Amino acid sequence: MARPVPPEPPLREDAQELVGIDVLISQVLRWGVLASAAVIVLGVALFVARGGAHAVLFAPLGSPASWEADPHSFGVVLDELMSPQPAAVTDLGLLLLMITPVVSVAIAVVAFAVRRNWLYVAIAGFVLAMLLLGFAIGSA
Amino acid sequence: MQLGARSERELTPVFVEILALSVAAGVLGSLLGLGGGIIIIPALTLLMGLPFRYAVGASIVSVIATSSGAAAAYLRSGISNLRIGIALEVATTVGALCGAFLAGHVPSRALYIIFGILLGYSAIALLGRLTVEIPSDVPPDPLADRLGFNGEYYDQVLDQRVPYVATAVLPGGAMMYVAGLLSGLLGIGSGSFKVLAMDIIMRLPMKVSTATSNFMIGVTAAASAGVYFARGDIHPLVAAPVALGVLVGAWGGAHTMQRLRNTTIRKLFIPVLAITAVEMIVRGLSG
Repeated sequence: MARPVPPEPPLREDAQELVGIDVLISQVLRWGVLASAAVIVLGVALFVARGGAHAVLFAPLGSPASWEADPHSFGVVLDELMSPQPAAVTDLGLLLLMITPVVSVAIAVVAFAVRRNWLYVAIAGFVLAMLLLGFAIGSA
Repeated sequence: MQLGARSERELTPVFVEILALSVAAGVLGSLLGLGGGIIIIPALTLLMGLPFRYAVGASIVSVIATSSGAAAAYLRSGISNLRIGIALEVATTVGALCGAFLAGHVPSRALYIIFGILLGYSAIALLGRLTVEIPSDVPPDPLADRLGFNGEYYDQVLDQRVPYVATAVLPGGAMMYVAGLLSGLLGIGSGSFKVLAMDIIMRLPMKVSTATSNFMIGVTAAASAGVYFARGDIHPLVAAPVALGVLVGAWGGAHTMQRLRNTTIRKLFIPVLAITAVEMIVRGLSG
């Protein structure tokens, strides 16, 4: 702390590159989070509209053993959304949340490509491929 | 409905309780680079009696919410290092996919014990760095140079720009693979391992480690989230309060973290790991 602050060198070119991408990815994450939160709130509101605030929010959710197994494919969620089922709307919000990091990596690939940083296009592209594989396996 | 009905074996979670719990998990997770799974899983299983698989599903949601909520702030203020985060994700996403495949084939008692021992190890490993505010004499690593694993952040407490560079990229990457494997197996972001890999092995400043971990854990968790979602482990009325609570908590935590010292963050980190380690080992041993 007592150390004198060294004269600030100009940001290296690659550092400047990163600052721009940082802010971009920050925006992607923020909007993804806000959108998913809004949809989840809507889903919970639908649960409340159907079951009443007390039963949904302040009572035990019931014995987990009694819950029906609820495996879903992404296609089923889409079907259920046609007639707004509280669970389907909530699931949609959760899905939006889950794809937010994936979208941020996808945008990073594009942003690195625009800046012709091919090493990081390859790195981020590989990560994106792994993520898509995860989702593909999940919906298979 | 009534409290009396919530006897020993019938403990079930209540929406607003999960919500409150999740705010706390979001604050702690965003401060420490963890996904909040270390709060969410024990609380949902031990306090609320939820089966492990739903707790794991909720934890995945918590990890992604903490990550996206906190990293939005940390990237904007330049504390997360995007390049380090994305490059190390190569190791973690591969690990996460391997873990998700193995998950159904490992008994949950064993998972508790493994989880506990690993966290206990993390806590002990961190004790050695209790007083290090900013790492010095970091040995150069050509691979770190090649990958551009350097940067600087403005430290609000020290009131100066702190330049840094990573070392030991390959050992750090190996630990990241293990972190990913755990994430897929246990539904935790295994942020503790990521923070350790960056703090102890790669010798990055603690804040950069936790903030970069915060960005990474969401990406890792997303790799296996699809598997958990499709399997039905993510129950909407459990996951919804987790997501909303954690997002609020992470927003608050991310704005607090920058005003804390690196050493303070480390001091918060160690007991959290140690307590949870004991909790989980006991749980695993007692069935």
